[in-house]
Amino acid sequence: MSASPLTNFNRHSLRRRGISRLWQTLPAISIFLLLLPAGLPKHVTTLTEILPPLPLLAIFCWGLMRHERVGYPLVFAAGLIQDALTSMPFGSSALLWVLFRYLVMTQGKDIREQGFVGAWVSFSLLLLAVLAVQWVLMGYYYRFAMPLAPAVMQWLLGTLLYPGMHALLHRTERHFHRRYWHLLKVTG
Amino acid sequence: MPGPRRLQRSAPLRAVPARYWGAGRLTLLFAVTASAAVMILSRTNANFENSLRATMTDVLVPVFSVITRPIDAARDMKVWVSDMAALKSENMALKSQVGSLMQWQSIANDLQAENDALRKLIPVVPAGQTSYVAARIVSESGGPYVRTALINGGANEGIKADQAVIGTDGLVGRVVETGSSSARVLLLTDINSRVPVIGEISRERSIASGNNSRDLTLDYVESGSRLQVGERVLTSGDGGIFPPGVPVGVVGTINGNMVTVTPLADWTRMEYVSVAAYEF
Repeated sequence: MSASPLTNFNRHSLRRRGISRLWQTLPAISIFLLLLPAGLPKHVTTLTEILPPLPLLAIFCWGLMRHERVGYPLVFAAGLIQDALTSMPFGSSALLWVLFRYLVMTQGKDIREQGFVGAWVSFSLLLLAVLAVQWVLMGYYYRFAMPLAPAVMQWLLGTLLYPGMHALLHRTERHFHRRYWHLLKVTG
Repeated sequence: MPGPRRLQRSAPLRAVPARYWGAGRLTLLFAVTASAAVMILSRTNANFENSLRATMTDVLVPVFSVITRPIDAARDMKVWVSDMAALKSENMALKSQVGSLMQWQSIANDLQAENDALRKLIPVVPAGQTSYVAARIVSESGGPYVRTALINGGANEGIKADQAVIGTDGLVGRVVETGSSSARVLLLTDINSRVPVIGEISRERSIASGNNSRDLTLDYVESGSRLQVGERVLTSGDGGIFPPGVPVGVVGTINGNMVTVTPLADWTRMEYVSVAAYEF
């Protein structure tokens, strides 16, 4: 016995809505998922001490590809969670990330025109600026000259991780477009 | 009839609308102002920061608890396999250790009896009482500037700020914030950590300070101190936060007044800790 046309329609509509919702929230999901490694305990990984702020990779990549889905409230919320996770002064990551997002948005067109290498260099420079400001801020906050080496390691690691994240997010976006273009065309 | 799929796939991406929610100038202004306000309020009002952080950690701790469970299970399995491989040699070593420990037990029993008899002769104020609550480390701060950990026990379990946190090898740190079901522990190695300590043999008192590196430094060490490399350093109990006699670390290097201590706590193996409520 075959399903009624109405049931088929509902199923199709539900699937379309689900995929569309996933497509719309993918940048937010990836940003929040990338927050998690920073809070992993040392008996799981000791890398967290030099781990760069991974969500900045996603904010940068999505900021170039689909900046309409990386709004300031999202970046602000992610920054606050990062501050809670890493015990940084509350609001510091939120402020720096919002400014980072602003720079990506205003310079996005120029960065896109320079291709992958240009984007990589731009990300590296922006990350360096964020980490430098953070280093100064933490020194001021705790009245202590913070060690510079871990911040440099963070910058190097962040720069090295960029190509992988760029490829992953670009492929994900392309996959969605190829696989579900007919659904995304309707729902946007 | 629809055209070839490949042609339609390569259709241009949807144009980004000129105006969209969440990325306008007003939202930017709001986000920047809110971030700055949170920063200033946190700096000026400790209660605001503590309550905000505690609320957020109460939400985050269950998430990390779920994430780390399977990782811990896999790790435990690996440890179990390696333990099984070393079972025979470990058994022999333990048997010989039991022999020597039996001798020590006999000495300890004699000393205990002697101690009890002497206490009856001289009125001594009894030492402080310590009660313990066990908790699991579910998260540790990332980044190079702060060394803290989140545990899955809080005010509901009787954990309070300033209680000592002890691992299987020695002191881990102290509680700095508590939520209802979570607490934040300031680790020994954090730049803000200060622990009053005493040398186990030399009985030299000093303060063990964290500096965000793996080792601690001892402050206020007198010149000509009798501390020796390899000597254990214990909590002195001064200040009433840390119970006395908890192992903190081993003296690593001595260079004049500059003494470094390597903490005994092994951060890479630590899953569970005890929170000590010390009443002196």
